[in-house]
Amino acid sequence: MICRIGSVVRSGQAVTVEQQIDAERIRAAITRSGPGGGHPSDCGEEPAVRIDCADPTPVHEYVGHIRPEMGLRARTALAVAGRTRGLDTPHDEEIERLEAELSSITVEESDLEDHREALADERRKLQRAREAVAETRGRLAASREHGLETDDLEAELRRRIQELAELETTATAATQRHEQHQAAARRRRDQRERRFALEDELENRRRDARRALVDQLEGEFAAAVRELSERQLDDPFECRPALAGLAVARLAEYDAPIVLETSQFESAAAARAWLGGPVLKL
Amino acid sequence: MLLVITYSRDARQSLRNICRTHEEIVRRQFGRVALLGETEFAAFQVIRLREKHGEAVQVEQTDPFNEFERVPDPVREAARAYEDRDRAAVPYTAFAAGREFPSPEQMKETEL
Repeated sequence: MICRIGSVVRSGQAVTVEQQIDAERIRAAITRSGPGGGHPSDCGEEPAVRIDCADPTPVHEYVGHIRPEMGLRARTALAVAGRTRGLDTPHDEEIERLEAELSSITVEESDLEDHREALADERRKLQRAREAVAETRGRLAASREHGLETDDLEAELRRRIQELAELETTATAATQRHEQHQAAARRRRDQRERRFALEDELENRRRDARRALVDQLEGEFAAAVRELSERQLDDPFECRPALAGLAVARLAEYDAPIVLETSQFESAAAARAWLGGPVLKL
Repeated sequence: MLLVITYSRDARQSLRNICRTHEEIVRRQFGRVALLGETEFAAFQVIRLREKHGEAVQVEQTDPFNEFERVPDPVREAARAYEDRDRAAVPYTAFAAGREFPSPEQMKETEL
C-alpha cells in the first residue's frame, strides 16, 4: 500500500497517519483505489488523500474501519470473513441454484395506474350523464303534467340520451382495457409470487450458510477475542464491537488496509502483526 | 375492509412496519397479508405502500359475503343439504345427481 496525504507519503503494510484527518476520507480513498478506480480530486479538500492498494473485500464493509463506537453484527461479519478465506458450506450449491433461478425471473412493470385512473374518470362521467338524463326526464314529466311547452325539454332529453350512449361506449372500452390490464397484473403477480418464495428460500439458505460458517470459525473467533479482552466472557459474541471487529479481521484474508482507530495496539506494526493484514492506524 | 397482499421482502417489511406502528387500523394480519379497516388513514398508508413498492403490493377492497344477496337459492340450498346429509361418505357429485342440485361443473362455470 502507498498512502499519500498531502505531501506525506508512506508505504508498507503498516502505516500510521500522523495528520488529523477524517477517517471517512481515508476509507473513501481505499474504496476508490485499485485498478480502474481512478482518483478523483477528493472534492478539493486539503490535504489531498490518495491510497494505492488492493481492492477491499466484502469483509471491509463490516470491519474496514474499527473504532470504539462502531456497531457490528459479529456473526454475519464472521461468516463474511470465512468467505474471504474460501470456506465452503453444504448450502452453497443450493444458494447458487436459487440465485440463478431468481435472476431468470423478471417481472415487467406496467402503467396500471393510468388505466385505473381513466376508468374511475369514465365511470364518474357516466354517473353524471345518467343523473342528467333522469333529471331532464323528471322536468319533462313535470312540464307535461302542468300542460307546459315541452319541445325544448324533449330536445334536451334527446341530446342527453345521446351523450349518455356515447359515454357508455367509452366506459365499456375503458372497462375492457382495465380488465385486460388486470389479467396481465394477475399474471405478473403469479411471477412475483414465485420470485418472493425463491427470495425467502434463498434468504433461509444464506442464513444456514452463515450459521455453518460461524460454526466453523467460532473456536478461532473465541480464541482471538480472549487474547484481546481483559475479562473472561461466556459468549465471545457479547464482547465490545471493536474487539469483535478486530477478531473478525484477524480471521479474514484481505489485501486492502483496515483503518484502525482503537488504542488496542501500540503501533501499526503491532496491529499488522496481530491482524495478519495491512493496517492504516489513525 | 382493505386487503393488502405483499409480494416482496421489502414490501412485506413495510407492511409489517405499518401494522406495528398503527395497530388501530389493523383488523387482522397474517405474515405478508393484512386486513385494514376502511378509513382514509388506512387508504393513505396503503397508497404510500403502493407508491413505494409498486405492483409488489396488491390491494383489494373486500365486502362481507352475504350469500342471501349474492348466491342463487339452489347453490345455497345444495350446500346446506349436503352438510346435513345422512351418509358422510357420499361425494357431492353423487349426492347432487338425482336431486335438483347444481353439479360442481355447472357451478364452476357460473360467476357470482
